[in-house]
Amino acid sequence: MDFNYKDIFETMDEGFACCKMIYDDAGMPIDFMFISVNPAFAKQTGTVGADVIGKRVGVLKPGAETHWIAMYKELVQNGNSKHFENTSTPFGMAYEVYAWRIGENHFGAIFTNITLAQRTHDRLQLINMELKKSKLALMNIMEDLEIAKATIEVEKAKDEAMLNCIGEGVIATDNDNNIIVMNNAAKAMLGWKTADVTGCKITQLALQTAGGKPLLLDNHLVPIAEPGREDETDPTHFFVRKDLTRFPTAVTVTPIKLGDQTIGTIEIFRDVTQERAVDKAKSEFISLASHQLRTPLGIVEWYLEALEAEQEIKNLPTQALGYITEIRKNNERTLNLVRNLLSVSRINQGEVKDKPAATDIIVLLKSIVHDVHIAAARKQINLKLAVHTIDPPPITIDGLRLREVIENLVTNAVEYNKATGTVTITVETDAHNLIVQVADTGVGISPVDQRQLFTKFYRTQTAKTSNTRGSGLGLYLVKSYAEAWGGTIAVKSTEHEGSTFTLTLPLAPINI
Amino acid sequence: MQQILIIEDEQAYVHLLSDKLRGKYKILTAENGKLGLEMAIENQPELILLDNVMPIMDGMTMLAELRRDPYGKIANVIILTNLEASSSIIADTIKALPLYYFVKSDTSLDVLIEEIDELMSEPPVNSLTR
Repeated sequence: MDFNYKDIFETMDEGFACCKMIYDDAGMPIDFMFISVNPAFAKQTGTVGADVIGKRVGVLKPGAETHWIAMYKELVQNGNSKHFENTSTPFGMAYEVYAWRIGENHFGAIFTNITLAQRTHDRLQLINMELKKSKLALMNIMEDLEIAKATIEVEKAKDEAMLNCIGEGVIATDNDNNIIVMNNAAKAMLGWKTADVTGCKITQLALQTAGGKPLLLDNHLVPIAEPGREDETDPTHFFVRKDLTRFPTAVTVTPIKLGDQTIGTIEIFRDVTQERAVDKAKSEFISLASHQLRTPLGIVEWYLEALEAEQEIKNLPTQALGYITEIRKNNERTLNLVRNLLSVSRINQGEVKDKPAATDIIVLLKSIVHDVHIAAARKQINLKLAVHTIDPPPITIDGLRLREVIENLVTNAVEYNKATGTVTITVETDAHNLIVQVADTGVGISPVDQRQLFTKFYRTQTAKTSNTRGSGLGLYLVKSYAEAWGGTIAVKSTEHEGSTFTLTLPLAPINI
Repeated sequence: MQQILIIEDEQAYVHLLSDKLRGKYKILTAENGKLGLEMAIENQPELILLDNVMPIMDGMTMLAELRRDPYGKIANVIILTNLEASSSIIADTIKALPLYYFVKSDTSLDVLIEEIDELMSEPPVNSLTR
């Protein structure tokens, strides 16, 4: 087959151009002119060959980058062929070019439009860069995660250490009473190991009542740990150790809340053996001291009575008679205090024995009103008895003690009332309970005082400043008896408006 | 003259009770249960006022001993104590009737003297009172 070199240029896909360098007056190459181009030129440049022959590039497509002319200038000057890639803004394309010198001022160039490849390449590079950035960001995140993980582990270790260092026993359970957590103190007190209790129900570590009856936590702890409630078990409850010995315990049960939901309970408890022993010793001491005090006080009481009965005493100046009255009053006060102290120590030592008998509450209340009405009248206090249940059934209880309890409430209501105030005693029954309310219109009790009102020797701020006579034992006795009988005592009060004490007793009280 | 035996270790009580009762009755005194028991059996008083907590022999032991004696079995006894009626004392006293029971610091002197006078004016007791 016949062909010549020209055919090669005519048929190839790459563009070909033969160009002549154009120089300025100083002999510096400033442009080049197309001498001849092949048919592929049009495809590669978007410009028809006939339109460019004999035309200067700078005129045809002004604004070409200087790198083109610099490249060809070097080529023409030193005759070294060039293979390069470059973009051309006027053509709006990128080219791969092979160029070589032809004679003095001419050069040939074979070129391919690589705009698409270049763009792809650029895009790939961009993607690559983005990927690198993402990788860096990911690595940073990973690093942060590692740090956070380490911090959490440290925190968790700290939490565990804290839990384990708490001196009180801590047991956390879920809603089904399964033990989730038990701290070291709890394990030490109960004699259990982690392995023993894992997956156990707290009901298996039964709490006992003083009588040794198991306390069913199913029925006890979880209900009292209802939303918003914290509760202490009766102070006479016992925890049973692994070896079946037991110790008295004070337990506080609190619900574990996650948002609005209760997800379990937390029991915090301690062994109160020591405290009990100290308390017992204290009670015994108080009891002994009170007994010893009663003899001299009783003697003084009788002698004063004898003195007052003497005929000649009536001739004493009024002032002196007043002194004797004062001595008598204060001696009686001391005797009363000693009496209360003895009652308290007997309750604390569990020595109280009831003498239950069928008691008519109305008769009892009427007799209290009768006894208190003189003191009430002195302050012009209106003492009212409101019977809401006609003929309440008789209650089998130690009448003297019940009288002591209610009288305490009524006396307080008069004592801490405003002059010309009102004391209302209300009595009613429901299906199971006898409810006696004593309401006054007095000074009221602050929320802070209300919380401690029923504790031993506690006196409210008002009581301390306005009335020096109380012993701080009255309401403690009320609560002790009420609870021993299976009942409750509660108070509602608004400062400066008054207080209402509610004594609720089962119609069939426990006899102590 | 009717006799009252006061068995009490606190001299202040003895003194005052004697003052109040002297004149109406012949007063005998003993400062512990043992002496009191001897004097009771020897003098057979119409009434014994008996303290509980005393040295050498306490009141309840004395009373138990007294009730073994033919006179003592029916002797009138008022227990005067500073102890409150605890169940064991009550149980003991029920077995050891006839007697009365007063907590000194809870009883006024007047009331006690009235009770004594009333008791002394009654014919001798041969069976349970109260």
